[in-house]
Amino acid sequence: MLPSGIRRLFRPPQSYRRRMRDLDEEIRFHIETHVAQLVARGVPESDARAAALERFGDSDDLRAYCGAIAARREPARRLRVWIGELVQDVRFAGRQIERAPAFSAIAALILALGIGANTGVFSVVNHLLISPLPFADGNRMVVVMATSGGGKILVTPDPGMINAWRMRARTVQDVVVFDEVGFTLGDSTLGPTRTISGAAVPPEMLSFIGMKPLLGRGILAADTLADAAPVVVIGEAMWRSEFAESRDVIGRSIVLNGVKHGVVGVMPERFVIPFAGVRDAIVARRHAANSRPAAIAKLRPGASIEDANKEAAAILPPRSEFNSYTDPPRIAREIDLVGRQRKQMILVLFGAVGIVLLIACANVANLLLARAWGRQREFTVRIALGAGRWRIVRQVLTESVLLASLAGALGIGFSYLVLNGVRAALPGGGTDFNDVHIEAAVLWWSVAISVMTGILFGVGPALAAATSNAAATLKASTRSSTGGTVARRVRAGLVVGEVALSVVLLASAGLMVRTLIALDRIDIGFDSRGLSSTYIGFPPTSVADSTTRRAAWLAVRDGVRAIPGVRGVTFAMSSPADFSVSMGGLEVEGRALAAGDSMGTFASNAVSPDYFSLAGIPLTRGHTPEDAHEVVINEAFARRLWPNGNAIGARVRRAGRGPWGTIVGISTDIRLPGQQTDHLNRDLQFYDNWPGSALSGTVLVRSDLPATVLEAAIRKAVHDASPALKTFMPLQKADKKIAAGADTQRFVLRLIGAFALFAMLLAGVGLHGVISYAVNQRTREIGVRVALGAQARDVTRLVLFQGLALAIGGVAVGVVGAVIATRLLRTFLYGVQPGDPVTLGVVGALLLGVALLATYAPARRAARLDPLEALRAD
Amino acid sequence: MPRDASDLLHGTLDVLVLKTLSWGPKHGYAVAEWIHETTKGELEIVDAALYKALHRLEDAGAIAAEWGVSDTNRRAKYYSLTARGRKMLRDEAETWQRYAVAVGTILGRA
Repeated sequence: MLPSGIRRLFRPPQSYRRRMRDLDEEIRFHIETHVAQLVARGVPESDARAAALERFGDSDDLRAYCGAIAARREPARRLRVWIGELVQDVRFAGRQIERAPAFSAIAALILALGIGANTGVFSVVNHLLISPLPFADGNRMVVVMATSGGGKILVTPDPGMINAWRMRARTVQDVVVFDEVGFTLGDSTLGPTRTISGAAVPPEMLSFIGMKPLLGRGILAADTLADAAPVVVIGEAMWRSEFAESRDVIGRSIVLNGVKHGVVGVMPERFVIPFAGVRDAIVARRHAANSRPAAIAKLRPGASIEDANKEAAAILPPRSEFNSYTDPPRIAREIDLVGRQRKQMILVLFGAVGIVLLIACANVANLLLARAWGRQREFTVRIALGAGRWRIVRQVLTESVLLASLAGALGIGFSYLVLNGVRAALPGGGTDFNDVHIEAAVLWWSVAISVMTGILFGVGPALAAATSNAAATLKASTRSSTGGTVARRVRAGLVVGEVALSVVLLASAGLMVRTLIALDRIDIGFDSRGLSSTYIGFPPTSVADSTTRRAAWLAVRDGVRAIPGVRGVTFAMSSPADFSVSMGGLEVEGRALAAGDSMGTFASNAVSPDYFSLAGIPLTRGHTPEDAHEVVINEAFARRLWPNGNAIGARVRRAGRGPWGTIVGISTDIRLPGQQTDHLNRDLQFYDNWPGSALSGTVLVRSDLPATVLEAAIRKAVHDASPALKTFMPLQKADKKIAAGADTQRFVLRLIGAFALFAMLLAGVGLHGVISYAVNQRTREIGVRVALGAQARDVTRLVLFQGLALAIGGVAVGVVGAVIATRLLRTFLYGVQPGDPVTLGVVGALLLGVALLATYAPARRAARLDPLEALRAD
Repeated sequence: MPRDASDLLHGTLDVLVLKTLSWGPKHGYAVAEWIHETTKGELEIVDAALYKALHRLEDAGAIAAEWGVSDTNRRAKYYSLTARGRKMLRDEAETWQRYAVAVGTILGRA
């Protein structure tokens, strides 16, 4: 037999009318039975009926009473009753808010900041991490990946692997192969140039991603023919910056890598090439020779990534003959336009704003609790008058949700500021954040968190209101009521929580500060002051032979050296502030290259003999590479490969290719901020000789001239040396480039720092409120103490200790939390560990200081209490 | 003139009804009759108040109602105690007993 409660659940709900009919029948039965009994005892029937009716009482009242119950039990009517009550609750809540405008404004403002920060950051999260890719069938898009070092380093797969995949894969359809190309936009002989992202794509690319040009056409098959005129399809941002969104852009042209390209189409704003993240320009892919392509594909409907990977393992060569990667190839849904570090950064920010919102909630809950206790009499009276406890809970919750909704509306306005702040603070200008908007999903999010926060901070006060003990409260005055103990404990708990969460945020900010200091103190290993570089070369169309090129480079050297204010010039493949990375490992003559060797990558540069002296990189042993057969490695590399220290004279080459070179010198290590956080082994450095007849090279200049003056002078010198030479990259100051290495850290610090300060302020305010309240409640006790001879100092200490005790509790909890939470920051840290004791110590001390400050005013007030008044007060 | 239900605290009436039903299912009239007879009319309760209590208790899940046939062969609504009602009765009865003892002690001493 089922318990009746469960049986009741399965009984179909009876309709209102049915219940009322039943009631009438029940009453009729009662009266008739009563009359029949009286008649049986000999009472005349008319008298019997009158007696029965009199004893029954008011049947209309009974009907109304049961009607209300029936209405509540019938779903439709129940809803109507519920809405009626809700309207009543909302009206009542509105009156409560009106009645305390200052209180409500402060509470709403605190919450608005929390909700606004959340909404702003959520819009970024939504756009970059949650929103579906803007492509047709984006969820079926996959890419073939080649990695090195156990998946740590993403490398370009070689064409052989891609072709094998394209020809034999059955789990995928529509494979598109394209090349990612960096373009230099503009004619260097006419003015400054800049680098844009580009891709060489086959005609089917646009239909593959399911996008149509906004204006003009896409790439056609005819464009890929060898003798076709060069054409380009530009992105919306380019259309805006280069052509001011002019409608007659089709037929005009832009110069890419020194070649004039006719604009044939403009893509809409959301356009992007999957995987590569190219948004600016696409050109026709003409031939596959010498390219390092990427291949993206759509899985066949129903095929899974696992299927594709199983197939790939069977058909793809496990390791290419180019030896540029050591891991087996795999298929991944890595259509990732965000980047791992960025993703991590956004999630960290999201966590930080979440904490801010929690603190804001705790703060407002605290304010409301203080008020709820003041309103205890009101609730008690209403319970005594017959209001159900659940009804009271609902009412208080309605109040807090209404308050939170007001805050949410305010917060949405505030979120625009947050979003703009995030955009402005983002390293690299955050161009891909331009199309982040406060969209519908974001608005729903803010509505949801508003309601949630309303419930979160309202539930405590609501329960407090509902559990108020009728008899006790009505008897006692609110001030000395015993119910206050629970309230004090709850409020103390909230403050401890606030302090703890603040510790987590402050500790995160502190770790970022320490990271920046450590990055700033790095001995970079060369003299970056006054060092600038620009990348120049002969365009691919140039026909200059090696003799002409050698003469041109010498002319550039003389021309630049002749610029007044230039102290030195040299050529290299890249600037010391900007190493390129070589894949595949360094092969030592007579040693086998270990498979999966962690030395798969290293930093490499090709340099002229005077490079080391100009850059200020001391050689600890030997001399600079004078010709193609001499190389230099840095100390770290030498230590790694020759722990016993006999590197000089050994012969090495880039694994599997190039001529052997003899190590003739050991250079000091170059350490760049930011190089520590990737997995490219940039601390291992390799230099070979920069050939004087190279197609391109970096002009490295030491000069104190202003950048604009220097850039113009160098451009002129280059043009004078040979009109065929083009400037590929604008002038770059080494100092600026080095500083930019810490941009991510700076960005994270700026935002987390702002959130942390806000959190600390809120925690201070919360602490102040709780201690003030406690002092008020203990007025009598303090009065007694003073009357019994306690000094002002003793009273002050008493109150301060009370505040400190809470703060110490919060700091203790927070330190534990921070040790765990700051691990999320690991990728951004340098020179300091998550849970760093110094940082935690400083943060703890800081919060205790804030606690003292927040408690000071109430403590002074307590100390100045007049014992007579205090004792009289009740 | 019998007193109205509002003169009696809800709780009192509820506990009486629960007690009445503790010996087995009864229809409303039988409940009323039983209370009248047992209290010898001391508690003058109008029947409507009793029905309010019955419906209130049914709504609270303390008693369950079912239609049956009376001794006079008429359709009547029978009420019976649920597990929850039995517990409620135990709790309330205990409270009342203590209350009565306390009040009795004070009055006896005066």
